[in-house]
Amino acid sequence: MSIDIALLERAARAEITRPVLRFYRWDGPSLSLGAHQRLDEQVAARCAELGVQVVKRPTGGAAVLHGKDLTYSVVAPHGTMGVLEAYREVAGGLIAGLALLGIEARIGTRHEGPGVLHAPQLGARAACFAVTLGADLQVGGAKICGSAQLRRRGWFLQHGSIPIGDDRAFTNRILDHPDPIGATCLEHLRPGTSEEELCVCLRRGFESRWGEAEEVSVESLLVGLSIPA
Amino acid sequence: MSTVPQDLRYTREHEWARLEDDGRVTIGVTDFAQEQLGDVVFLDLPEVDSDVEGGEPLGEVESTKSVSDLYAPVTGKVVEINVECKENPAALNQDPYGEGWLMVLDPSDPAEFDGLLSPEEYAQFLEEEAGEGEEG
Repeated sequence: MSIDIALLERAARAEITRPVLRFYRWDGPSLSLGAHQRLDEQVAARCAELGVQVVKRPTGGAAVLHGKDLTYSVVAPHGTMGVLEAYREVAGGLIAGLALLGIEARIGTRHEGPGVLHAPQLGARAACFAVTLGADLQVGGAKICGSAQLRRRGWFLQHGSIPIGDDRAFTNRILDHPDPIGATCLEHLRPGTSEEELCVCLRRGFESRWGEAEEVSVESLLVGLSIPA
Repeated sequence: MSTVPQDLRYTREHEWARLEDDGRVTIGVTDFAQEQLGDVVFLDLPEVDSDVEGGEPLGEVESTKSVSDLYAPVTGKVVEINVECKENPAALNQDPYGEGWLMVLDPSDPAEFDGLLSPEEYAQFLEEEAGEGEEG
């Protein structure tokens, strides 16, 4: 995620001038918290006990367990697009990509599960996939993609998680959620879907909306920068 | 259509600034900005007595689906924070130019305020951005 921020900062300084789409995975189970979400002591203790790394996202929203998911990130100019409009712009690419896998996703209707976000504490145990807001993606009413955004000097970073394997029970255990989280995953929707297949389809989905992509190395976009681990 | 009060100055990052009788500057975010952000749920504001630099980030606004930087319109020291708005961030959406004020700065260079956008310039800036958005 430090690479996501570095890309956004380069864009904000006009050192990157075209949108960037990136896919990545995580080294083992990791819990990412929203930018202003507090780390509950008991959650921290369970993460330490279970070998789950905890990181803070630069973007908002609630906790996401990574490890069995694919993470995407987009850095793009927002122009006069508001937050939801920018989400819908990215959703177009994601929906088109999932459609290539035969998965019919749509922008979700609002559903608030346990751990609803509220100011100022921002729900210390709030789980991203327990809540669907009007910019997340659902399949058959279950959340398939949760995303979060950071806006800086005319550009936005949006990254999100698409669960491939089912990690809901583990999420519940870490965050001590009493109820099943209303989310789904690729393993349920299209068993046997590989991460590579998902990446290829998502890329094609974005290209169908935003034009042909040029594949470049992350290093080439971040020349001269030292990225913290 | 976003409102642009005539008694304020503005930045291209969509902050507003009001010069008070005592020379201090009250700041907030504009109606256009709160419309773009959506429902604000959290404000990350600097501590009182913090030094801030004009044009640089001094805090963050989190709405239900986004985090956005807040930028200092002028260089100076933070002398007051709107604690009520920090505890009830919805005020920023409901009354961005009134109850939604964010903080008061003691500017180090009074002339810097005069360099901010006038209401007409800010309104034109919004129109230009909208025009670029339609062309893009």
